[in-house]
Amino acid sequence: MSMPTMNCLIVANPQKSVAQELDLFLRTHAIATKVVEDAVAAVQCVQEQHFDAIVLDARAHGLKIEQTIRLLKGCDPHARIIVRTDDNSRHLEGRVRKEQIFYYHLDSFGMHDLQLALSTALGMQDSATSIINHM
Amino acid sequence: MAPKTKILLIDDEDLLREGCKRLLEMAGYDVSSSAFPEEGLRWARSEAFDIAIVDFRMPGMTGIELIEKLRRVAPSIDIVMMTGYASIEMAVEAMKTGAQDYIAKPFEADQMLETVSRLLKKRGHLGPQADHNFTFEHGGQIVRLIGASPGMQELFAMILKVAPSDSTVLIQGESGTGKELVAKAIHSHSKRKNRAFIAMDCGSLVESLFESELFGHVKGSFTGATATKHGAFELAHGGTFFFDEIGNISLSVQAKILRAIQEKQIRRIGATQIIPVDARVIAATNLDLSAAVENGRFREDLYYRLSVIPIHLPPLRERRQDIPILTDFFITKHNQRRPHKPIENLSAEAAAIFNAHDWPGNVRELENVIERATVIEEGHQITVSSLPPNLQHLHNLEEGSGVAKIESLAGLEKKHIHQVLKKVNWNISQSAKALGIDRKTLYDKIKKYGLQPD
Repeated sequence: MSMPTMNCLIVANPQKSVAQELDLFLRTHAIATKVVEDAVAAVQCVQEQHFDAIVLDARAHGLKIEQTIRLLKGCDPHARIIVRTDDNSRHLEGRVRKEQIFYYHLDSFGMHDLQLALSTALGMQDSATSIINHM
Repeated sequence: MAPKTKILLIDDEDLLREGCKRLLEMAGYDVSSSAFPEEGLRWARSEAFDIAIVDFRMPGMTGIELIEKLRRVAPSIDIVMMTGYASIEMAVEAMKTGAQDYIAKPFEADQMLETVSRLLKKRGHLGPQADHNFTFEHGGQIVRLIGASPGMQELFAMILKVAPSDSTVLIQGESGTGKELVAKAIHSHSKRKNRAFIAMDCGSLVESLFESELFGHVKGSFTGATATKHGAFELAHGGTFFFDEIGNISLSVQAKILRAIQEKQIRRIGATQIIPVDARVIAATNLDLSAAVENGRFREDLYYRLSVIPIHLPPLRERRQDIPILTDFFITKHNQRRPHKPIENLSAEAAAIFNAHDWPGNVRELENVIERATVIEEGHQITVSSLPPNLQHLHNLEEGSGVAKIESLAGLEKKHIHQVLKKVNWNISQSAKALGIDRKTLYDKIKKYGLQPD
């Protein structure tokens, strides 16, 4: 019997480079990934398929961030949502945190934090330990 | 008593219309439904409805035409348009015509109830409060705690009693009992209700990330600029902070949380500046925190700081009388996924299993079982065959003689001794040896149970 595959959805807009880097990291760990360009496409994907974790750009086009989180949670209450941004503000962080996400990431904190949060969200204990040891 | 909110529902799809009607009526609304737009218009002329929910495509009249006519005959009515052909253009068109909201089919029960409650909120009232429900508005959504049992009624009274104060609350209860809902209910009835309610699951993140999420972080970026993560606790300023599963945090983070609660201030990681934070703290755990204190796994001072007002949530097995109410609620909720063939009720056997099962996963487990059954059940009743194997097992235990009747130890002993005696043709010595008892004890038991060769 094959191991169940973990799935991760990455919403890439506008920081495509972050999405590419994450995509590579997850594929290295045999996690199936899907990258979409905007919030509406993300909601459509989650309506069709379960994702264990979703990495969402706080400024993804199409919908407001809090609407996106609510819709994603409505479609799949079990998905762990990580929101990342390259330009934080108290107002934005407050709006996002009210929606009870798994982790809030600032891009300038580096990829390691994001990878660690994602590894934890996906239950990749070995990967999380390895990232902690290299921090 | 305030009059019931009146809803006019017009949709030519019979099953969906009936499902919605039942859902809204269970939520306490007074619903008049029709498959015919003209009939709905006639009613709207003669009765004062608060909300009209209309389908977009119906024979004889489009939803847009109906909205225009409704708007003329009942200018104060709020209109929600439903459609299976979701598009932004249609939503815009409906809004231009006078609809207040828009809901795309297929939709979840919660979405429909939320849409209605949102409109009612705008109209200045919250809607119905059934006797066995504790209904409140949180984050623009209507949330319900359900239970007619004395334990739940006491809980509802307790929520109303503790909500106005700023004291910390410790909610203890098994997984799936609704600890987070109770925290939200307290917040929603407090003077902080219009400020943030921020929750954190204390067990989900590794410690380094958890601390940064909780208290914020000031960190130099690769360009040399400084980025600031404000942190969840700071953002709850003026509102309520909910520590979910507080028993899962390390002793070092416990010390920092204690300081934040006592001194009402925090310092972000990497920062020197102290930030005052006025947040009401509610914590929840499924662990016995007093035992954790005795074992040295939880700080005693933090335990006492958190448990100023302790609230215990009863497990479902201690409030079995709520199972039918909860079952009805979840069936209606999950019927939305099968409007073509709604589940009406439980079979007698399934109901007996529901009553006999201990529900270790509590209300969450009950909902999961019903959700599963509504997906796989082919008829209009939830039957034993659509229950998970661990529940079906209860039926198999005593099939034919009362579901889930657990046999007594004495009964099992009697059966076992009889089987052993039969196997060795009532040879007492061999039977006693096989059973691991002496001959005298075996004779006593044969006499006690009245056993005889067949």
